[in-house]
Amino acid sequence: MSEGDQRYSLNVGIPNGLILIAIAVLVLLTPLTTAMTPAQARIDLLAGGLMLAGGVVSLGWGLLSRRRRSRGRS
Amino acid sequence: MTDALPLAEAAFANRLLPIEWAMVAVFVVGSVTWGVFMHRTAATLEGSFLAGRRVPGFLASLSTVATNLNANDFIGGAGTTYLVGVVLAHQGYANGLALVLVSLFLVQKLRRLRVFTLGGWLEKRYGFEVGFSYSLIWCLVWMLFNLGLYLYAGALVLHTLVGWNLYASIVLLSVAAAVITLSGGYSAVVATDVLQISLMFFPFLFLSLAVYGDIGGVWEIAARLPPDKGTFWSNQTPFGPLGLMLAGTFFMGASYWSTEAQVIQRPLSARSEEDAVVSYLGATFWFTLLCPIVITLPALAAIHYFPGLPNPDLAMPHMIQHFLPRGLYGVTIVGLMAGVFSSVDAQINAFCAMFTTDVYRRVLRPGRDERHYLLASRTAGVVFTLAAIGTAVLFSRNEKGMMLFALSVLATIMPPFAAVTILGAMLGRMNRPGALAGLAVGGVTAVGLLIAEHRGLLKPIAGDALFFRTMITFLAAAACTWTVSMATRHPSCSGREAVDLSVRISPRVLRMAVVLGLGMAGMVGFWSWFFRGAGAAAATGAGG
Repeated sequence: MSEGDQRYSLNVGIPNGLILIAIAVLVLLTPLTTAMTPAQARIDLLAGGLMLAGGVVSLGWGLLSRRRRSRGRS
Repeated sequence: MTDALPLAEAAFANRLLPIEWAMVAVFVVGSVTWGVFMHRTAATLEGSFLAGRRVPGFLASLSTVATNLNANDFIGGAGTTYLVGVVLAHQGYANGLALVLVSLFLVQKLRRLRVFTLGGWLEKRYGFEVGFSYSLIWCLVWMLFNLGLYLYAGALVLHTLVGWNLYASIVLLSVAAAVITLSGGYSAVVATDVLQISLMFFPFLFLSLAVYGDIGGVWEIAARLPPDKGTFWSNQTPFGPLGLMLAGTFFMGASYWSTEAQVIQRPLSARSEEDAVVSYLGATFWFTLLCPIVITLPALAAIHYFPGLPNPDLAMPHMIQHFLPRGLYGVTIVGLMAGVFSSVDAQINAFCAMFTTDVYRRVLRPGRDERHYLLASRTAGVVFTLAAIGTAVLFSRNEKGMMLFALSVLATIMPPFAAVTILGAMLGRMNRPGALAGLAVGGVTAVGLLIAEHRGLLKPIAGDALFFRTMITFLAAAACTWTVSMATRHPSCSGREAVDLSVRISPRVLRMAVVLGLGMAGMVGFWSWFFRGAGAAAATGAGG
């Protein structure tokens, strides 16, 4: 890959992962800060957990791609 | 199972909780920060407008979906399904078929010439007049209306769902999207697109699961629909007989996917011709296989839960409020905001690309260096955003008649360009005189049909003749382009010599197309079986 190409490397995984993780944590905290039925709390916990997992996978993928690119560069 | 639900009093003054405000803040601050951080990728025209043409097909397809999916689809699309019924699900498949054909036979040829916009491709294929007329119409008229509409519709959704001030929402959305796009360029746009898909997918998936769980499955949704809304193969649609609606939707889809500037940027930014095809084929999965599950079926269930809504567009907001707990509700609002962001920043980026390369560099100031054009692009982007804010405010001031008429005219101007583009990509024999004649005849046909509809002359054919007009305009433009091209010889634009029009289908693309075909056939079978008439479905459901 040429030097010019490096400038265009897309890294969607990192911002996507970071923002998803932050929002997932807030979803997981919602049942603790808001009155809701146990069924509603379960939905929030499940959705928050899934979003957290999605965010971690996305962040991991982004970091991995970044490391691979910097190795390729050197 | 819950029976029909009372309408929540002041259902849409549902203010956000502090923790939900924090989600909104995380999203806005995170997206804008990332846009600014990505400024180094926007240091050249190719980087700024097309991410250096290095976007993998998978990401390009997510971006295609996100650009096309915004608050209008989740709210307005669900509202139309609520109003008309399951017969509208046909549209997804007619549109999907058009998208598959455009994927296989058009987009790789656009990507092959390494142009920045469709205007650039049309110029290489037919000559300056054809390309420039497209760029001028899109840049100065169509995109301005379109962005104004996105901003207004997005702000209206936020105003309706969480009570935000309409004008403050218009300004917030446009300023944030402009900062993301003008600093981070196309790379930042793709990042916002992917984020939007993630944020929209989770709440709507849980909404669907909650609805299916409560009502008792698809059989029960089908059994509870009135016959006029519960029959998939009904011949009555607001757009005329079913066959006419299907044909019209097909031509509308072909026109949209082959000419809409911000959509075409996706395959143009792909890292190879194969990835360009994947960017569209991948999007077809969403529109034909996933959309029915997360939008259409919940919208149909809303007919049972909230019968007789005064405004059908309130169907999805009612479902969201009833079925999603706080927390996930906040994610939905952030997802809808992300939807507006991704449509708005895509539009701004597409405008900058088209104005800078096709108008400014080509006509107004040729021969300057890249830094000059980048500065011009950002300046034009700021002016365009301000103008679009003005357009959005005009929409909000109820200048509806004029705006809708203008939009309707512009929407029917799309098919002549689509006919000329598609024929030009398929047949080497098409030439410049044919294309110019096709555009002229198509334009006249479009305006004539629009006037005929306003005078009520198309009423015997369809209540809403938009699809009919699109089809006739496309066919008239195509027939004229073909006839004149065959009757004339124009040495400068024989196409075959100037542009490589061969079709290359890789094994990966072929596999995707086959899976898609089977999936679409399966989904049509699904609708036909479950929604073959409310009475039949109920009987089978009881029997089962």
